[in-house]
Amino acid sequence: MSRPTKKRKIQDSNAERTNNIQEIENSLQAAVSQGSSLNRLSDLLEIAEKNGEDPKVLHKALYALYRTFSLLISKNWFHSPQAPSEKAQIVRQWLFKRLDQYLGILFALLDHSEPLILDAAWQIPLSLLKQLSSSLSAATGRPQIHYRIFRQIVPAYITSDTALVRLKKLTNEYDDIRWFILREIPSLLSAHSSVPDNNVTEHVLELLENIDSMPSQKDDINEFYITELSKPPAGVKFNQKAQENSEDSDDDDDWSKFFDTQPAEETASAPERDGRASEFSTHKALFYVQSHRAQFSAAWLALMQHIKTSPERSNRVLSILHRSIMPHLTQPLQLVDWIGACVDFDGATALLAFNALFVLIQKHNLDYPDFYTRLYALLDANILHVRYRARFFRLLEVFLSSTHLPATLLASFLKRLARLSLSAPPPAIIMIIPFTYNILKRHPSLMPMIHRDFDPTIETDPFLAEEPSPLRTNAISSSLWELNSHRSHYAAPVSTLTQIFSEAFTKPSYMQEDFLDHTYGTLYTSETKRKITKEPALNIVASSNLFGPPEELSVSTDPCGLWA
Amino acid sequence: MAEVIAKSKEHKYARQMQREQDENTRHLLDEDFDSIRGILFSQAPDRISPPPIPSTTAPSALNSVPVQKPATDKDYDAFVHELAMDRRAQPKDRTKTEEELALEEKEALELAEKKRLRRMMGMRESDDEDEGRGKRKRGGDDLDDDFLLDEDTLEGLGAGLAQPKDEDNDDDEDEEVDSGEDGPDSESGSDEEESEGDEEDYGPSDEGEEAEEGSVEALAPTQAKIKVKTKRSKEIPFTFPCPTTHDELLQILDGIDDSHFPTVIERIRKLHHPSLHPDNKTKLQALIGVLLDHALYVASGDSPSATILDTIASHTYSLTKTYPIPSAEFFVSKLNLMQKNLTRGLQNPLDEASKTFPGAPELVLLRILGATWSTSDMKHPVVSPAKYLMGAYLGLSRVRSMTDVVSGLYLCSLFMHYEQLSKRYVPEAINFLVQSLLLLVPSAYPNARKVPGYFPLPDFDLLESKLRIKPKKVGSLTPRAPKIFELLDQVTFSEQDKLDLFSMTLELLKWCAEMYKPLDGFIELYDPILQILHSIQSNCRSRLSDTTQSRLDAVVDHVSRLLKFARQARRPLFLQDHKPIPIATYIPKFDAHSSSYIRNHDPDAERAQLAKLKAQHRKEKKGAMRELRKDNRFLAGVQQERQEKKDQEYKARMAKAFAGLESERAEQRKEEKEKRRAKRRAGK
Repeated sequence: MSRPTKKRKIQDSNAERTNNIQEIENSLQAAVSQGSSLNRLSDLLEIAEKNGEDPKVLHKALYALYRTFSLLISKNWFHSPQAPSEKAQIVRQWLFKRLDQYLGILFALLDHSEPLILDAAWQIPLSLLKQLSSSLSAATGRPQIHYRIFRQIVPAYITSDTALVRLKKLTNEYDDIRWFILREIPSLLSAHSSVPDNNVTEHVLELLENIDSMPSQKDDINEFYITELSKPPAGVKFNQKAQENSEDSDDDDDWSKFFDTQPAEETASAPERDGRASEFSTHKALFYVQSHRAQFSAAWLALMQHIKTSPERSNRVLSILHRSIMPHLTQPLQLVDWIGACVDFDGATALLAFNALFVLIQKHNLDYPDFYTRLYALLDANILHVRYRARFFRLLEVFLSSTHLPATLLASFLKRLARLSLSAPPPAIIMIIPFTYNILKRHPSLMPMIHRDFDPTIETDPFLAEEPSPLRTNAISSSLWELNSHRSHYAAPVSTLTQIFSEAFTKPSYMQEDFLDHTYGTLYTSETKRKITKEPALNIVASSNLFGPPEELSVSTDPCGLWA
Repeated sequence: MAEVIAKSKEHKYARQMQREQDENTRHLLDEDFDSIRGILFSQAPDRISPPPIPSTTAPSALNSVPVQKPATDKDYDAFVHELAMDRRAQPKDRTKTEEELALEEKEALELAEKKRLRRMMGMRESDDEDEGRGKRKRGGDDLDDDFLLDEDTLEGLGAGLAQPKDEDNDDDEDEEVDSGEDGPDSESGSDEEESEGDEEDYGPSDEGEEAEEGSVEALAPTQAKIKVKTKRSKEIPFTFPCPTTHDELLQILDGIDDSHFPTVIERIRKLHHPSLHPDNKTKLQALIGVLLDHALYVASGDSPSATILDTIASHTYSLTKTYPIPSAEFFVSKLNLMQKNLTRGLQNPLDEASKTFPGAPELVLLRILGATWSTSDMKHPVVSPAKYLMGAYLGLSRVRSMTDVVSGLYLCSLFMHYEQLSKRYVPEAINFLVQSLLLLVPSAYPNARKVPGYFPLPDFDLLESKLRIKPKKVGSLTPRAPKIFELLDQVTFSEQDKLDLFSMTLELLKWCAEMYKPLDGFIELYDPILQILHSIQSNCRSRLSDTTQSRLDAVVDHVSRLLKFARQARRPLFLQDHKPIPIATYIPKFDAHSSSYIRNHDPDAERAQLAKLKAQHRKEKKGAMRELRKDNRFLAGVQQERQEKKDQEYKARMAKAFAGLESERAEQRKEEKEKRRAKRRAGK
């Protein structure tokens, strides 16, 4: 009989506590309306703090607090248009302390197992932020975000796994939230950089990767979380018009000049700011695409400093770089340091970095003198054996497609590829051959590599395999013997394909794309899928003693005879 | 008169006697013939009497041919006709002498070799067979639409992973997305992984149902049942049913000693000779598959018997010779299974449990395959896939243990065996040999990057010295021939085993050097290998036994000699040495002299010949006439000349005569004048 009593006891105590909360809340509400002591707020907070293991009570307490704070905000306890008296100032400070305490409780619950509590921990701070911002805006007469709260919310959300998922959604949904978060990121990262082993970098990366709603024109800026901010400031209207005109002509120059300096200053001073200094300009900036871009750039650049050493993360960034990052940067050339660091990695990362670098060179006039030397160094023993080799060849084709490249440089690449092909799998050789053909066809001055008269005075191969610079390898004076060796490759397609070098160069070019997607598997299936109609040929004579002990005779003709 | 009559009678009687005698003889002959006929047709029962029991006794003959004298000659005629049509009545080639037989054999072999060479070069087996089926040559009237589709060069390349290309052209962007999903694991480069998503065959949807049947156990038939080895009688039965499944074969073999296995198979094949029953053909075709299954079954056992495997190989060969296509299909189906297993294994190439390198059954199958089919062909429906599969084994699998090294080395030797005639280049084999060399013996290279050449050595850094020979322990050991089946079963490897494998690697490298010395890139290929060998040489000096050391030295010497020769013989490539290509002209042929080009070209050769002759005749005739005319003209000229001369002479003579006459006449007139004058004078 003891169990039910115990249960009842718990229920009793539960009911008691909920009643208690109810009672405190009621008294607080009364206090707010009467302007009497608010000290019971601390009691409520204490209940919330101490009942972490009981979700029901906790939930109740959290919402009771929420309602109380909402009421306080709406009654202008936090911000009021008229300057507060000294006493009110003290009360206000005390209230802010309680608010911080409350938020602290909420943030601690962000990874709670109970979904309802989780929802509360997620929604309440944002809702309070909204209300406080409204109240602040109303109090000061300028639309602004409640920066003090916001700066507490962002790090908390970013460090939590569950909140991050929601934050990503929120970031993409609201233009103002995105702007503020982006502005917050550099300081956040620098604040956490000293702490090793934190997940901030990872989460920030995840968050930034996920941003896909960057505005590309004025009309895209239309979703605001803080309703007060959604009304464009007075000055903007006019500027907007003027800017729209200028945007057509020289969009970049004009605005990058303006925002290159200002947002940088803003972000730099952001940590020290008290959140009220230049709210007006912030509000204005929210309506400019360029300012969004500036925040975006600053955030990315700050992040890149932190992922420089991790090839895995760099890889992730590089792979989305020119699709979803570069178009929104104010000055893509700022990336060059980071990309240059990535080029020094191995394999896929370097390849992706090359791609980005090439885009910078091509579209943004970057001067990168060692590009081809680095690229040449990338052609190492593994490049033909890795998964992304087709991708590499696509890019290599682009890099080497210019007809203005010096022949000596191309010769080095061809020679190196030929060398590599000697130990490459058949699908890779299938890629190299048409590639070489196309380059030879495009640069007839390279034809001596496959056709040269014998000169008895030259005794050794002039090619310098160890020379790192593709301009000094003398490859152009050598021959592509290695490639021609594949005339007798065991895979029939490879050997037939190699024949193109000994035939007349009448074909304008091969479609590289047709040769990229082969694997052992496809070669195998293309052999086996056709039906056998003609009688396949047999060995002329039957061999005996396949598995027996080796005889002297069989050793000379059959390498398997070496085994016992 | 009486004498005459008597003589006539005598003659008549003699004739009668003669006839009677003839009749008797014929009767006798007929009688004899009947019995002969009985014998004749008893040996060819299918001609006259279909019943299957061979009728050696007279009754059947008597039944078919009446002993009595044939009632009519019709029967006889029919019979004679039949006899004449009999196959055995035809004259036969005479029995050949031994020399002739030898010569014939030699010629057959030479022909076979010639055909093999043609296949090796990738040409069609015989020209007349396929002529006319080839692609039509491009003519002047062809439009240029097919210009780029020169399919010859792409022959047999297949479509690759050809995804439908309906995505928009923003390839780059799509690529970027891909890589994001691919994730960053760049080092474990495996093609199969890449192809996995794209190809139906490897798609994860099949994975579930394949999981049970697709494992290696399916390749080698299950060994689950307990072998009943209770009694093995010395006696074996004389007749066996032909097994259609491997289980049936196992039932037949149950209780029969392994040593009798060849006899059993021999007997099965004799009992089911295709000439004995029409069904036997299919039975024997199925037997190929059963035998292959048995080979795999035996190979997956503890210590596979070489005799059994050899017997299976030789029977497979002879059965394949008779039924190449069904046999090829069996082989290919086995290869497909292996390919599936490999694909599955490669999803996790570094995992110890995944099956990447082939085990004993797979190796046995590849060995039998290589001994059966013509491996030197450029394209072969069985051998080509097998080679790709072996290439994938060597190129994509990762070495995790010593067993992998054993398996890979055996694959290399299989590859060498396959290419022993065609000497085609197998990069994977060389790569594997270099890697296992570096794995087995200590060298001076700390990591894969420092190794000369561009060999991919994915496992060198991972395994480091795990598989290495410990030079201290092998100092006194001498290498032997490694035992493949034992090594494949082993888990722990002694230093002796490692030494054996090291020596095997060296042998194979030497073998490859010998085989690939004609390659254009031989220097580039073997120069780094020689450097590696040198480094091993200096690293292991005086730590290996003399035999091992001398073997190493021998290989190094051999390779460096080959390299020296290759350097001496090196010439730059000279590939574009063609005749200049004439610029194709599309102007129709135009004869300036006779516009009757078409008329003069009669497609009917005979008529054309006739017309030609006629034309020649006409030409000759014209010529002759011209000659004659010329002659005539000349003759006429001469005649005229002569006439003219004659006329002139005559004219001159006449003129002379006239002149004489005239002068006479003039004198006469003068006289008359004188007379008249005188008269006048007188008259006056």
